[in-house]
Amino acid sequence: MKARPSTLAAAFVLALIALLALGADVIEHLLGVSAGTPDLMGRGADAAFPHLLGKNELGQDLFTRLLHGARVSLVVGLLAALASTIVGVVVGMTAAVRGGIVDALLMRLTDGLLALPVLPLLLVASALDIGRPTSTVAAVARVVVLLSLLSWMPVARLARAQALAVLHLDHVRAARALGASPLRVLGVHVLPLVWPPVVVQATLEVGGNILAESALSFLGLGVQPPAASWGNMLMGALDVLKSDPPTALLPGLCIVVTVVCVQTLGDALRERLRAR
Amino acid sequence: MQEGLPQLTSRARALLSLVVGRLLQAAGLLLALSFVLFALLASLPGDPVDLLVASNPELRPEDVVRLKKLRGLDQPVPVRWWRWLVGYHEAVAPPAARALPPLFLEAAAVDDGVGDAADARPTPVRVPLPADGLAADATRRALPPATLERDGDGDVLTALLPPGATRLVVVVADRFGQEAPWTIDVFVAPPPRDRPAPPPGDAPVIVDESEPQLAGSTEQARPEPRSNREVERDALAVAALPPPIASVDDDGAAAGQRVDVGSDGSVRVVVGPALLDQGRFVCGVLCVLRGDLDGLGWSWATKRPVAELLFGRAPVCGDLVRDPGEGCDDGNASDGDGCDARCGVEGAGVVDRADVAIAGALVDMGRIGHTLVLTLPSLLLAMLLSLILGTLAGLRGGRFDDVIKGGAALVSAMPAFFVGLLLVTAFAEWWRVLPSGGVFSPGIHEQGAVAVVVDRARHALLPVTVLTLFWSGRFVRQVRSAVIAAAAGDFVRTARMKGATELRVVIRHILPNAAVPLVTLVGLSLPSLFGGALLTETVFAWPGIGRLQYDAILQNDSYVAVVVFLISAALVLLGSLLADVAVALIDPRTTRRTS
Repeated sequence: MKARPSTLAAAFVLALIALLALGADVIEHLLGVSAGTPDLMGRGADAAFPHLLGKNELGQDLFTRLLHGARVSLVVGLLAALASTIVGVVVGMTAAVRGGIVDALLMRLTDGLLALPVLPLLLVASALDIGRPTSTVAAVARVVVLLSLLSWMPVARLARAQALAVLHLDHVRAARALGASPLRVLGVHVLPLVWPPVVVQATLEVGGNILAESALSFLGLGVQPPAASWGNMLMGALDVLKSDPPTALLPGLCIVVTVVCVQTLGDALRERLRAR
Repeated sequence: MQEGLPQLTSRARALLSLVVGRLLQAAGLLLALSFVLFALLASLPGDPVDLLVASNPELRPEDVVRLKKLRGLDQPVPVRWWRWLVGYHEAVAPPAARALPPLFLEAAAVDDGVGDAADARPTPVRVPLPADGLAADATRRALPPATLERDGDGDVLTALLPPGATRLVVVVADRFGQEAPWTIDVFVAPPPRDRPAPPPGDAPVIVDESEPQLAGSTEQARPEPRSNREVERDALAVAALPPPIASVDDDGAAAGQRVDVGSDGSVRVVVGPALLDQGRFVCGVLCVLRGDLDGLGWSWATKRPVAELLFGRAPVCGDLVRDPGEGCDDGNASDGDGCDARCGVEGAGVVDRADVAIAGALVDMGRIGHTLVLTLPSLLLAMLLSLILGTLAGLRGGRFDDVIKGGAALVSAMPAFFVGLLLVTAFAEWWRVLPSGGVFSPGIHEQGAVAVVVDRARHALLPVTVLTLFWSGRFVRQVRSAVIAAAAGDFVRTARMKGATELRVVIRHILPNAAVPLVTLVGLSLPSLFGGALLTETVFAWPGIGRLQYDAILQNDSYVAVVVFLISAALVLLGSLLADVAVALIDPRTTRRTS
């Protein structure tokens, strides 16, 4: 089965963004600019080498800040999806295997958390003073933890449903009959069959996580200046919307492009798995 | 099953158990959630008293301790949560020692002419106590020989002053056991011999707090301002009186009130905790269940009741009722109370007044009203739009389907605030055809209801567009896949073969079978009506629920934050329950599976 051109394009764009984000420091060094240095005289300056996209409302280099923002977005999107997938799979499979009261309790918890309005809860949790981030890494870690704590529920339900179906299959019963340990049954015989839909779900969650991070940062509760994130760059540019549109529009465009690419990949993955 | 009761079908029973089970589950979840939230918000730095200290440097540390005690902020979180939930008795302010203005009396005399012993009878006094809110709750209990009663503006202590008393000490005590003496010096002049004394039980002497004066029958003899020497003279006269009677408090002690006469001639009236403990009962959140919205609490940040923040305030005088307190000519044309120059004009027509009333009500409709103005039209529009587009895309496929699919993917990849920014930039900054934010133009309600409606529509246009786009992007994909799944059914082919028109096939056969996911979608989007517009409201400076919640969290306005959060959570639960019930009604298979 050949990949569609749109899928290829999405993969290419994502890879490009990831590469640029990874090499942000190198690019900074090559261009001889620094993303953090404000230049109050050069606020909103137009693009001119070495400032490839001009300067933002504080006179910082827009291009390298976008790259740093890409780093935050991708790291948050991927890590939160990974963490929530792990939590979700563990919860879902535990519920499926143990059954009974454990199953009931875990699923009630899952349903309860699913029923919560996510954004307000994120706001409350972000406003908590415990571990108020002091560095960019700490801020990103905080957002990752919060997002993964609030987004593992769909994965858990999916994993439970899938595991329940798989547990009745012949090869699992055969493995049990042969005396395989419960962990071996789960790891070798159940997990590989639970995995595919979970991976699709996780891919789709990456986009949601990127959006959530940008929203939090936009509201001033996620990654905060001077660290760059697409969300807080948008917030910072609110005042110069008219005089300097690129400063406001580029971070937003970056979010949209990244999320569209991630969703496209996720959809392609789903179709590929369904076809199999 | 009992005789006489209508026989419930198995389906109805299954439905009933579904509803009851889910409601119980929801109640438990909300209760647990409220505790978690309350604890979270309580652990945020800076409770309201701390914030007060920050804004008022004159508060001393002991004041802070006192205020926290008063507000129950020194209690552990579970206690505070319980009080917040079911209500609590609000403490009255702890008393402080003070000296009240002196009292000038004339000893009561009885003209029975028997002798000196008869002169020694108690003198009735009435002392107005300062209205501190302290004694305000210690009323309505008549206790001889001293009583506290409410008298117009403040509280009045009525006591029988024993002969020879030189000082009245009202000891006030609060529920924390703190006592403070309020001292009143009493100067009693001997009864005049030339006139009959007032009979016992006559109107007691009333002493004005601000202007001490010798009351009663010798009033006309008193000079206006009393010099110190005169006070001393009276004091000497008092000292010459016979020693006080031992006690007059036989009945009072039993009722929590004590009158002691000290050896120095002072009378102590203790207004004890038994009286003052009747603090005001503050209703908790559960009071909402019986319709008392005050239970929602108080917003620290805005100094308004939470219920008023959410649901707005009725216009004061625009509703054709003149409020004497507010008045229409309050000169405040922009506070949204519906009062303006026209309202108070003599002879303004009924139509004119009604116009003003509507305009006023539209302007101040509360946070929920403001949010509904945005979310209701957007949600309906988004549903209509996605139903049409999704059905078409699902049925026609091809290029049209690709466009719709791509558009939906693009829209749902856009953060709502970014779309908002784009629209504001285009329509408000470049072309300047629409306002960039806010709900209405200042002063618009003076121009009548029509102008207000038009103005509000102009302000709502951009945010409604953002929300419609946002929700359509989500809905259209669901509609599309539901329609595709339904269209693949055999019954569709059968209908087509029978020669049904395409329109009939879609409306009679495909859409009803696609209804289950769509109904679920509607149910699950119900909470969006309430809190789904947080980001949009932020971008457009729209004073709605989402914005309120954001501000409340940032300002540690804990009651507001918890209440708004709980309402949205309750709506989520209600929405999914309604969706499940609707699905069960549409599709009997679902209840059969659960039962």
